[in-house]
Amino acid sequence: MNSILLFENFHWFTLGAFVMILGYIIFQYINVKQSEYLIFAINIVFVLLGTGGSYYFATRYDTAFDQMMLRLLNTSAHVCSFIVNLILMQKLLDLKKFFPALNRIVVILIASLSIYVIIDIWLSINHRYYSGIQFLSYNTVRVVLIIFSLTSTAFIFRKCDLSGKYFLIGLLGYVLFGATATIFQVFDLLPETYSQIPAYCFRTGVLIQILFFSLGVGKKIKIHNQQQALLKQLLQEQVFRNELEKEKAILHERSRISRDMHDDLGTGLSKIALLSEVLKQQSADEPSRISLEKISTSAKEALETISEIVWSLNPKNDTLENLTSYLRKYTVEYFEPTGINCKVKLPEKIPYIMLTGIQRRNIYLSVKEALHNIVKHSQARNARLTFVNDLKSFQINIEDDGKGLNVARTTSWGNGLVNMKKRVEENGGKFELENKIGTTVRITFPIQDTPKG
Amino acid sequence: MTIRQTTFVTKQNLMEDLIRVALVEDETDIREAMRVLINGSKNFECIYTYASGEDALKDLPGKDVNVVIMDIHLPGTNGIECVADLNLKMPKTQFMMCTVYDDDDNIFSALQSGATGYILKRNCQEGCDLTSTEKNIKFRDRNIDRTGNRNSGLSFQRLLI
Repeated sequence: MNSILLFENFHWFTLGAFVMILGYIIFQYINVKQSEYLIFAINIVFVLLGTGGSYYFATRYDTAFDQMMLRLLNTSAHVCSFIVNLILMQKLLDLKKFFPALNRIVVILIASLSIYVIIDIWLSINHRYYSGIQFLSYNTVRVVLIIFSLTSTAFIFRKCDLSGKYFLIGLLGYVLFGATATIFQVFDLLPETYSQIPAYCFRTGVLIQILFFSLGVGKKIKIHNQQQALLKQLLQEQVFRNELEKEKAILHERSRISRDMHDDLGTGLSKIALLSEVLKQQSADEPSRISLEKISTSAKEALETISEIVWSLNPKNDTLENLTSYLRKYTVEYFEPTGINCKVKLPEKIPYIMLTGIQRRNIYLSVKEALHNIVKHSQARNARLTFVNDLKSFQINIEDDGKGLNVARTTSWGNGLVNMKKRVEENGGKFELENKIGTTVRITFPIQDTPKG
Repeated sequence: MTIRQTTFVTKQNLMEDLIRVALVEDETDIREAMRVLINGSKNFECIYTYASGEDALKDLPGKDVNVVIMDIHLPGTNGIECVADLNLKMPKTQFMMCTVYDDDDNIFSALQSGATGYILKRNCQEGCDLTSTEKNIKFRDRNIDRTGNRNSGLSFQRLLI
């Protein structure tokens, strides 16, 4: 009596467990969208039909419908669960890729089991069933599947990854308990009291399989995520490398252009300047001397312009230090023929700051414009270019002792002033104009944190 | 007239003597033009010209030359290497670099290897006093650290107008 109660409890316990696991697995599927979970959920639905459903109809067993349903659930529901298991095996172990021969056998098995189910359903609905045939065919299917599972597991177990191994262990448990149940049933070994044992054997097998299946899929998702993260990292590295290469190509191109200009144009124009000087020396005719002088001057001016472009193109010059030394050189050269006395003052240490080509060019052109104004308009005798820097900013002061700037009368070169202001402010700098003794132009740039080089 | 010229004069102790110049330049047209212009300047005569650094290295040592004007970009042995070599063999001679552009790095290494100044090709003109014109000599006598110390080098690179 006790044992019957125990069996009864076990019956409800397993059914309850199946329902809960079904809910859990559907929830997991919604969560991670891994198709294995959905397939396994379908498997559990068939298991529930084959166990709980058949129990329900066996206890009623009144009408012809009940008999038909009992037969169907006892055979087809179980076979459907086997089919789903085969599909799961195919998917989890990636048979198509790793074990193509085994995959063909599995496909054949799935096809023949599907045919079996269709015939079974058709016969059951038409009540053309003889329990003897049903018993025999169903158990044949079970024996074939047991043999298949055991041999294929033995064959592929070693070659599988960890998630595959978990699945195979689960399958093995399922099959071994199922085989025990089959043996009990086929040979009718048990007395009436224990007639439920094969069914419980089968359910225990299902529980073991669920446990290992969960482990296997969990492992698979983990591996999958790791691979995905690795792939993402590789992709990011690739993108980074591409960016770097692009940057390098641009720098390379800039260097190439400046080198070409340097070599070919520079030599050609130098030649023009020199040869026209030679000709001028040899010529006594005054008009030709004037023309030759013009040729020579034009070539020199063109060379100066190229020199500026080459300087602004060369990535090596992208520092504040380089800009200041270039400005210093330019200023001294510019004032030399004008008779204006010019002093340049540099700070002891110039901070290491990277400037872009555009920034350099804008600062350079602004200073150039300011110097031009001094020479053309100020009538100054002395000029001074001072570079001052503190921790937060870098300042360029261009001072003169000329007649000062009458803001109201600056129409003639007002555009130059407006351009300077625009250039400086576009690059985040501050432009100031002061009229005390002469004129002071002050350009201030904030110093940003740049990595030390 | 500047200090430099008096240096030459005291060296030679001959007021009337012309300053003898050797020119190393690979471009024929430029070499010839510069030769004409140097000869056209008072106080200077161009007595040797070479088309390559190798030729100059072979021929120049031992010659009585006051100034060697050396192109920086020569095929083969470049002007800087050439000056470094000649400077050891010709201690009394001054070396001036000659270049299309005044880019700091090349001039800096030239000064390190013993050059005393540089000339821009475009500034060679009729009647121009090559070694003394303020415009052409970009580098004036200062206390130069010729040991090649980069830090002091950098600061004097800025002194180098």
